[in-house]
Amino acid sequence: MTERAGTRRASTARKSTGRDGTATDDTVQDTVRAAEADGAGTDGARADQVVFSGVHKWYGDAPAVHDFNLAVGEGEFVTLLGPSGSGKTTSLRILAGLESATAGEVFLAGRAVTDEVPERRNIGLVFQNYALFPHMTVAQNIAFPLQMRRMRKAEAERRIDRVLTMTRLTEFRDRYPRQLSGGQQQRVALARAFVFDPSVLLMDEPLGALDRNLRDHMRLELKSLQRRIGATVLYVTHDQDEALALSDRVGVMHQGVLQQTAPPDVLYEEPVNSFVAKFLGQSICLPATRLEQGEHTVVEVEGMAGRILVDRRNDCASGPGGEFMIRPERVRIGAERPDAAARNAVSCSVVAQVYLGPQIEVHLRTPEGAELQLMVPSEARARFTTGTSHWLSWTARDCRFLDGVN
Amino acid sequence: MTARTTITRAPSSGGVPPDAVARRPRKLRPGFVTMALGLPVVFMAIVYVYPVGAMLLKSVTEPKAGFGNFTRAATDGAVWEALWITARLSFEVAVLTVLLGFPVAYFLARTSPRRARFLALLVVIPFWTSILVRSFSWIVLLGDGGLVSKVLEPFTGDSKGLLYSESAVVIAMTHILLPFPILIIKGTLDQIDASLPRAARSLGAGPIRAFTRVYLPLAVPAIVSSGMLVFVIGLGFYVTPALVGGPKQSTIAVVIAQSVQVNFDWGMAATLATLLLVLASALTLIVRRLTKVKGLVSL
Repeated sequence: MTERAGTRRASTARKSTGRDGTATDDTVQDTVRAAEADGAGTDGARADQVVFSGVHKWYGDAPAVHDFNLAVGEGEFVTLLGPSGSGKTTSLRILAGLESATAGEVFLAGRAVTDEVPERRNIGLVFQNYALFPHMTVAQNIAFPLQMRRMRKAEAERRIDRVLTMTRLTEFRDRYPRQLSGGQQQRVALARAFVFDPSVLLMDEPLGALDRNLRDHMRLELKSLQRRIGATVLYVTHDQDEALALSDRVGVMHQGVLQQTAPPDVLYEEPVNSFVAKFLGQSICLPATRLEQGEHTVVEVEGMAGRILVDRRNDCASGPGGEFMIRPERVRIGAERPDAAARNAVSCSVVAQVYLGPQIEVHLRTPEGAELQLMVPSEARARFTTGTSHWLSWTARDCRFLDGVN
Repeated sequence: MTARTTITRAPSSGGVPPDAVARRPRKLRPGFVTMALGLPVVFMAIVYVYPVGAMLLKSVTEPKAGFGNFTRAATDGAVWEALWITARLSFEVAVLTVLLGFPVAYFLARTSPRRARFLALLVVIPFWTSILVRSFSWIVLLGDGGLVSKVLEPFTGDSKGLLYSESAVVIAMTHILLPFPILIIKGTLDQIDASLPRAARSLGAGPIRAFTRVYLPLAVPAIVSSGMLVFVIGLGFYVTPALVGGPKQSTIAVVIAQSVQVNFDWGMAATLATLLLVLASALTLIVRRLTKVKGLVSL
């Protein structure tokens, strides 16, 4: 246990020093992107509802969150995505006041709330297990935050009716939580969390306890509800589909460090390091070394003959050592070596083929020993039998050179 | 059974694939089930059903058939007095054990599981000592010149002990019965989702309101049921009131013992025991009903 914590700490420290330069770049890029998104929106500049500023959290001498910086604009849906233990839930709890930050500041609607008790933060929190009060009916659960704010009865009733209608729970108002299905309980938790107009809605894996079908359905419902009430949402999940489908921006977390924050398409197309590339979707990542940096970055990839050209803008590595990365769907497969000089090309042979229905997974190996996997439509499977040779090619714009973060 | 299943596997079994029939779990031999359940049933019949039946029978047959014993008991002031004392003592003890037990249970439910296990063991250890020994030790502690009177001397001005008073009985019984509420309430508090108080806080409740509006209501069934249990056990307490109480603390159990040992009145003893049984059962049912009506978790 101690040993593991120690290793983690060491690797985090190494990363943060190694990435200092890029980290700043990211932040700048990010701000620019946020501004662009704002310009595209109808309501112009938006005030930040949530700001994390240099937040650290240590449990004993184990870092849970390291230098966490994030701003969430009004009405924006931001997701923290990461494997379990990556610090995303801890960050959420620090914002909710259920955990205290070791260092750093948290702002809500422009107000510093770092030392504020949770009940005064005016945050709507949705727990993974819903945390509905079992001894209260649906209506009583939803009335709870209003009663805590000593709202007048008539006004409270009006609001409860409104959120019950919005979440289609009117007919269940007098039921107890245990008499509801998982999806209905989920909606009650949601209704209870926004009935008092919180400055931000925090959701910690709110769909995690539902089965797959219901989850996809609730995802749509959640998104449309968020749009209707214009809520600012900070969402936590380890499910990348959920994150991509729901969010305006996604922040990928790993070992307590926010690796990259960007709109879903940018995150997928332009990951800043190999962790983000691997965590989101399929990717081919191979150790590589940068040889020159000019109009193109020239890299030598382990297990690939010759030099590989990477577009200058796709060179995100902080040093000469890093990882070469490309999305499998951007690789073109041909029988002949492509003529175009602008294309990177390597030859390789099929090691194995896995039939997956609409597609087959083809395992390939270069003569120099690099292994990679591609997806091919299954009607072409006869061409990819074991032992056959193929030429893989791709443009410099489709591949990237990244810091290796594992 | 097994034999027949094998036979119906013949072609006549229609659409059912033979495999499905063959895989049906084998029924246990009736002989084994009968044995496993039969022994406890016989045991309970001998040590429980027979004595209770005999007691009920004696109350209406000894010394002669009819409800004479009950009218005699109902018109006897001493019986009413004893019933009242018993109920009052048990109620006081029930309230005290719950009041003292809840904070302990709360702490046990909140602390780390390892520490909770160790502390729960400390709570249970007195159970392994006989009630007799524990009651006797209270005689020593509460007697004139005993530890308790010595400690209290600066405040009370004399070294007279509490022994043979209602306080002594209540203190000793509270000590003996305290583990029940602690363990029962802890069991329920362990089940309360830790995110509920947190949810209450995030929804605008301060720590006190989060406790009184969310945590405490969920503990009420356990509080009520453990209080009930202590009350019912207290109704039948004999050793402790007899040892540390005086004549004024004659509980119904003490009166029953006197009927047998002093008056040799088995009919009266059986009648009083029957009254106690009915009283305890009725109370249990009433409280059970009350807590269910409120929509709380059943006892």
